[in-house]
Amino acid sequence: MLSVENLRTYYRTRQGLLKAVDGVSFALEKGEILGLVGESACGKTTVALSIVRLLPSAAQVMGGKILLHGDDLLSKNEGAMRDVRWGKISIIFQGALNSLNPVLPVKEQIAEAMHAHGSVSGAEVDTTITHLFKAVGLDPDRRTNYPHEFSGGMKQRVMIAMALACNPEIVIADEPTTALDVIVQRQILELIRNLRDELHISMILITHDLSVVAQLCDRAVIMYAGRVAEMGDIHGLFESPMHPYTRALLKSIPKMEDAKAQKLSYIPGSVPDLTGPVPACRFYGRCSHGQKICEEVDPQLEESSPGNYVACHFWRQISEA
Amino acid sequence: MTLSGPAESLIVIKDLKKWYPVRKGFLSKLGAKDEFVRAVDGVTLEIRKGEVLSLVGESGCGKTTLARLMLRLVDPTEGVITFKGHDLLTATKREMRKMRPQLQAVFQDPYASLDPKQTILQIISEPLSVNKLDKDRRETFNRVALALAAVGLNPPKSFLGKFPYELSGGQRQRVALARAIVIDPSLIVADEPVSMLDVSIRAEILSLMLKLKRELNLTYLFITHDLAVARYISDRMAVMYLGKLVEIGPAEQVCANPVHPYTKALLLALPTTDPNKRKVKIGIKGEVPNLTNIPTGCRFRPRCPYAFEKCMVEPELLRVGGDHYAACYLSDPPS
Repeated sequence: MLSVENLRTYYRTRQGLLKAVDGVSFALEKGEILGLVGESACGKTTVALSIVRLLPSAAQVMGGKILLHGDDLLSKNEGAMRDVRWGKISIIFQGALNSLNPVLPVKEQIAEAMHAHGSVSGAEVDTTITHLFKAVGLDPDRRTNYPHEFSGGMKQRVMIAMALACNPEIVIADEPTTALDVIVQRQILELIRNLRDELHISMILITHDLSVVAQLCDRAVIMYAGRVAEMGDIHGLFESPMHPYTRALLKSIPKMEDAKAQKLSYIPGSVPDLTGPVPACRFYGRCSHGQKICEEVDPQLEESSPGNYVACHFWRQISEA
Repeated sequence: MTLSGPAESLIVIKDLKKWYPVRKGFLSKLGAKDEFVRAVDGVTLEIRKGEVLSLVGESGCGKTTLARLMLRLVDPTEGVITFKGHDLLTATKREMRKMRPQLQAVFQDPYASLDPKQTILQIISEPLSVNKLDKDRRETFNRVALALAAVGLNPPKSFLGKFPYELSGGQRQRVALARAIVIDPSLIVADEPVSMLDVSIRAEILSLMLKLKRELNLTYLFITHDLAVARYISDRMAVMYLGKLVEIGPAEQVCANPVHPYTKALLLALPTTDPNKRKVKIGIKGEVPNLTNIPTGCRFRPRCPYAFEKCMVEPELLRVGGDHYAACYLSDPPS
């Protein structure tokens, strides 16, 4: 239903043009939760902001298409885009816990979004909010409370209710559980999954946390330095990762089951500076399989198994080893 | 743990409390009782020489306050802290000067904990100059270079003149570690040292910390909210909830056979990278209560699925086997 094709979003910086997103393509299917995963500065948030066209002024989409039901969002004017945001695609921002207005009751804040997207009566707003509060597991009587009267997990529930207020088809959630403690994180993940099952919305979940992806997503896109390294269904990704980056990343996470026996490895070096010249394969230099070809020829996404794609010159050798 | 016989304690804490008064307006003060945030509310604990003790718990459980108390960055409301047999709280200035170098800290945010206007040499030599151990410039220089080499920033000379902005997050945390070890401490309190770092470099810093511990005979108090990290790095694990310890014991035992319902819930809630193990409901409702309004009796009672009458009286840490203690009346609650 939503497809991103060869998206390139660059930032103007004092050091030159920073290629934050450089040729990213993926598609979101109806009713699925798609993970957009990667470490800091891999471009995952920039992809999300490009989709809803809320990029900071220093950033610019240089090329590509973002098709919603075949309609290119990048060619829409601002007025048409305003109808898409909230109404068709809503976004829960990173640090959502601080993005509520502290001096307005939460009910007013949700109502504001609803009024901006069509003429709804006060009574309708109230019924919808009551309904939304129940759906996200909050007591509807608390809709007149101010943000400071809610705990972190409850604020996150309010944010989710708000994102659902205009019946969007797609919800983009940027690190929705990152600031929360494990037990609350678990509760929010359960809530998101239930909402997807009940409301049949599609979701893009942006996170750096691979375990959150494993717990919640149907498919995932692994990003590295502005490119897609690998994507596919999560069983494929976690059980037989193909890209050296995905493999290394999974090996660097301490696991609860065999923490002591496990030999943690790490990825040497750091992400290349995206303002300067970069090797054709962005992971070249940190990769143990890197060869001359990786420096010179862009690896294309190839289908490694049905539905799973990997951008690595050596994925066949790696999978056989 | 690999230590034989009763291990020597490095730091012993007895019934330590830190209550912060809640500031109120003049009118609401009238006739009202004073309110306190009971950040640390009666913790008894020892850290043994040569071990890594991890302190885990959710935000607001008091783990950072406990660390700050141990470093004497804040003074406790009540309680005793002894370090190598010396009372840390009644120590004179002169005694404190002797002990301070032995207690060092590494903080969470390597972007905030290093002064952006100082060079790496200035940053790492600061513990030496603060403790007036930098009389000989040549020696200071050598000690800093050695510390840099020990944390794997090679060649050390190339880093001395750099500023923090020139380093990556992982390198910055290495500098923070170098600053902590340059003065030959016995205890390093590390407060969430890897949680700000990207996953791919976390393991690098964790293995470095274990290597430094072996080479320099260090003892760590490792504070983290991440149980998997805690299990990986620590010998013993202490679980804190609302200002008190609820469970403490060998890390393997606490993780494999948790006793306290809170520890069990934390372990159950932990997401894993195995998509086939999507976890079942955890049975714990609600969130951590406000620290000014701690429940009576067992602090976990309102959220605990197994609570019964006896829990109205606050349980103390009880031995549940070997070196493993838990503050729960049900030493083997139904699971």
